[in-house]
Amino acid sequence: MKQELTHLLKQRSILLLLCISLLLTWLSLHNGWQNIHHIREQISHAQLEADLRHQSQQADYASRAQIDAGEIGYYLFHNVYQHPTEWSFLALGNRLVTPYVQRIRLLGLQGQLYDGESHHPEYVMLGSFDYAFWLVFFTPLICIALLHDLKASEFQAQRLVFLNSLIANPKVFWARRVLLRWVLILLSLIIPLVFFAIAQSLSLKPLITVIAITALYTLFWVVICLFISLRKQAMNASLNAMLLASIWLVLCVALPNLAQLWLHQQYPIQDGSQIALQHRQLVHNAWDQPKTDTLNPFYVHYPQWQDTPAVTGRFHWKWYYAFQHMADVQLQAQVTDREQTLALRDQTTKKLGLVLPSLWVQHSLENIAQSNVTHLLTHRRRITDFHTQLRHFLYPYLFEEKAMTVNDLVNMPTFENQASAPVHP
Amino acid sequence: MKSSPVMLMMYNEWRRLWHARIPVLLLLVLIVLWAISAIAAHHHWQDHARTVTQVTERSLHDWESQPDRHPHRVSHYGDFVARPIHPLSVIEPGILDQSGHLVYLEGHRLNSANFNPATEATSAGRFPIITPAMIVQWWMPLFLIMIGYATITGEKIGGTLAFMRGNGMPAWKIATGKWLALFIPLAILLLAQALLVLFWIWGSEQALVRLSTMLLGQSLYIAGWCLLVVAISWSNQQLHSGLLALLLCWVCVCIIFPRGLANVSQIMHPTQPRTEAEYHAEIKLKAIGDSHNPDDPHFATFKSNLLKAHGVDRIEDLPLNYNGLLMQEGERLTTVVYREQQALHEQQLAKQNATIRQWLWLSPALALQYLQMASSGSDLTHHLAFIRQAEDRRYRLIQYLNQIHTHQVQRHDDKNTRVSADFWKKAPRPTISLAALDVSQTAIITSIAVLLAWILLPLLLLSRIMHRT
Amino acid sequence: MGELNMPLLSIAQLSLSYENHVVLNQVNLELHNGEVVAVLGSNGAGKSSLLKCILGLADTSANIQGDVRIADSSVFHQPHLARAHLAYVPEQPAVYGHLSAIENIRYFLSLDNNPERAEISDCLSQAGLPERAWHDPCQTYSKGMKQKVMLALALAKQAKLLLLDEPNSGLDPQATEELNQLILQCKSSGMGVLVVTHDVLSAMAFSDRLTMLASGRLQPVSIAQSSLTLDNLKRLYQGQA
Repeated sequence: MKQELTHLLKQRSILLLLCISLLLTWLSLHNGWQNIHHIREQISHAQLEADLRHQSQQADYASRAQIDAGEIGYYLFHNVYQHPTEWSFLALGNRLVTPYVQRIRLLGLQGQLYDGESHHPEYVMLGSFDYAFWLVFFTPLICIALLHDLKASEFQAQRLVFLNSLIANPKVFWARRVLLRWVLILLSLIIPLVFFAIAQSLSLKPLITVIAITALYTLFWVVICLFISLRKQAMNASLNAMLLASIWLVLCVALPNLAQLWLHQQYPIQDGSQIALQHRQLVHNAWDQPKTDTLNPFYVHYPQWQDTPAVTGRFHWKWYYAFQHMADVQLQAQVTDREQTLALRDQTTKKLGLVLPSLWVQHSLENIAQSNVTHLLTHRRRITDFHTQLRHFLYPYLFEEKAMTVNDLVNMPTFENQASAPVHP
Repeated sequence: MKSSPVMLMMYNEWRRLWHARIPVLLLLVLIVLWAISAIAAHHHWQDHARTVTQVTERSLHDWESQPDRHPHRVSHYGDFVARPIHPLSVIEPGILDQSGHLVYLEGHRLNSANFNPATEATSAGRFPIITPAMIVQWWMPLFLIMIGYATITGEKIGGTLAFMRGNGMPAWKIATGKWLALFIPLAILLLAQALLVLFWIWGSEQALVRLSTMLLGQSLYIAGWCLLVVAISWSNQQLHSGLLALLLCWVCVCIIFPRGLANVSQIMHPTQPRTEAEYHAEIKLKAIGDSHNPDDPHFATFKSNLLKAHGVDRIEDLPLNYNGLLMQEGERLTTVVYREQQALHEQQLAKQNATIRQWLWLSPALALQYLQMASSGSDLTHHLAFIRQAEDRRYRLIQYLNQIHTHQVQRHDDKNTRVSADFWKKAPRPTISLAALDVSQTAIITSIAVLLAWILLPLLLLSRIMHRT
Repeated sequence: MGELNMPLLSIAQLSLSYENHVVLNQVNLELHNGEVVAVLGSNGAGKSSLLKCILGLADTSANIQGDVRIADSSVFHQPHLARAHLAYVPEQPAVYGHLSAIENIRYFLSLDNNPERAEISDCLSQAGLPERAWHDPCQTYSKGMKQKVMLALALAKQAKLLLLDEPNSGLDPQATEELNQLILQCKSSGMGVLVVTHDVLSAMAFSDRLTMLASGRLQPVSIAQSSLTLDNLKRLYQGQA
């Protein structure tokens, strides 16, 4: 093995290739980390500003004898944050485009949920260079470069017969050559990964999973290269290279694209902005309808406030918030349907991953990084829960017309610690 | 007729490629890939086009079917517009998926197109998408490398290069012949695409200018790659090292540099998160005054000036509805703030653009992408032009409604008045049209400059190593 | 000892044919320790097929009959055992250009699991490779030097049978002379040497026996230095000896 290693590493082009691989792996990790770091910074900055705003608001409210709960619902925005997780830098996935800070108030949720982030759209389109991209897309090329001419290079150097006359067991000989190359490729990926994990003191379990995924995926490509470059007629190195490059093109570009296309055709969904638009229409129509048309269905959902004083005037906050909520209720079926379709798309992607390794790796890494569409849906569900808590907090003041003072505001739920408070349906 | 040496060189190279069989096979694969991308792109484009027509129709229908209403209700009922797309964006969809294409217009609010479908993509959406533009930008050079990396190195190894040179064939003629042999088939493919597309886009806005800009960029780009292949093939003694060097160039130029640059510019000049921008806008709005507050200094002056102009003492005596006038003044002020905010946002984007443009020479692929996006009307500047048009429409529409509020509604019975629906039908709702190509002028000029340099670079390399055999 | 009488290499009734043409037709050859045999033949006479049969690497699609034994191991049935006794020097020296002479030999020796080896530096000096070149990458070597590396490998492997394929092609007269000396040296140390060549003059210089492969048959040639005329040579190669 030692001889084989010297033999391999004395070839300058191979050494160069491995160094490039090492460097780019590090670059991909660093780049992902920078992006996540940037998101963290933006979130903490937003938190800081939110705290300042909160203080000035408190001071403002403290100066009033009584607070209008309706105004609190209307004017008070609550920041919700989508924090990156420890391993998010591996695969940026949706995090590149989803807003990491959103603001929510008591108005209908569906009108607020789908706002995107104001990134530079051209650069979002270009995508980012993270570990997942590097691994899925490029390591096959490294494997191809190192393994496409196993037999062909010896043949073209008229060395094949001589080698065969020397080697004790051809299987062992080729296995050793292939194995060594695989290990070197793997090391060029894992060494930066491990160093990175140690330097940032990251948890061990995901690291092991990532290493396992990396090993499996590179092994998959090594085996493909092996089939092509050790087959009997594999005497033309450039033919092998083209064949392998075509396989790479099919597995890493054409099929994922077709999968995406098929997925969208199979599970069509409405654009999120359409939901927001419908919400607006519902809310606006409510203004023109008799107030009982809104309040009666609302009281079916919330019988506890059925017997509160009726709305007689032109405007009352309880009616206002009732129709905001009823618009959400009316859209509920569509929203659930949409979420289910999105979840179904994700499940199907996962299933497709079982036959398409590149997709499987991408999906698995995004699961570790928690930056997939399912995590976006979980985040949205958290927002929905928080919104419900907010409503439940303010409803008594609105419907029972309970007086509200600045002291009551202390009990107002916040997104950050909502997990501790259970939600009543 | 006797062919010139250059032509002979070219025919010979074609014969070699034909007999090697693999290059022909590769060219076929490329064409198949192209066809797939065209189908996918067309599908994608149709989706968008359908949304645009649906939204436009629905917005018209919803708007016109409004009952008699109070004008202020109408201004909150609002209107929505969809971003028009050029048929050429079937080649390069650009930021269609990332920028959102629907804007809601209402009174004293600035809504931007802010839903992007990319947020909800699954893992399958993370792979580089194949569009006809991407074929030219990424895959054509890659296939070109695989087809042509041996073009000169092979002659060197076989000794024919030295033979030709020894028999008096000038090096530049050999290089030109080889270059033509590589470039002409690809140029034919580009032309064929352009012709097909011409039928498709016939009659659309600036069809010819847009298409020819795109074709020019694509030809320069591919010509540069062909030159690079010839140059690097000439500089290498071994097939293996030449292929490796070319692949490295491809990876850097097509993937690492564009993605790296985009990331660097975003980290160097981060855009303000939307929420923060909204908070800031609210602070500014608070500062300009509150029309509901009788003690507000700005509106107090506004009121006294108004009363003086009409020579009355009380707002009740005004011949017009004071509430409507207040609305107009309020709208004017808030619009100033919102436009300021939008300008700030655009400045941030412009800063990012400037960073990238400084380094654009690193990646002709990115330059080509800018050019393709600009000519297909799917780049950022076209998008921002659309946002401006939408905002203009919003302002005119809302002020029209406020005018009606001022003139058609009596103040004493303001809240109970309903105005005839006929007024909505007469409201100014200028159609949103695609911006002219001029809006992307800077991007186009920079890109073409970079692409020209991209041709010069391999030429320079070639001229320095051409004496070697 | 009985071993002395037993041939090192014995080819018995070896035939190799493809569907429609015969390459080797009942070839017989015996080679003993300390003996140098040259196999002459024109281009395409089947010399390399014969060599591949001896190496046990004959084309599997060919139809083979007969047997080849090296030190009493059949190359068809125990190829590994048989091959352990031989060292093959191809026409194009198969050294790796990026490795030095020592590294090349070390690498090639690591490929079979035979623990018995001679000291590499001794072998290299025995093969006559100048010591200053030992650590240079082989791509800087001349063809003669590369061939010396291959021979040094044969020595290091302590092979009993040396197979040389066109050893003189592309060598200048001095290098040819050195090579011939080296072959004689091997012979005197008890090795059996089989040289496949079309260079009659050289073959006569170091061979004990000459054989000629023509139309698939291997026949002994006896030719005296004095009767070596151009006409004789022509007839020889046409198989009319």
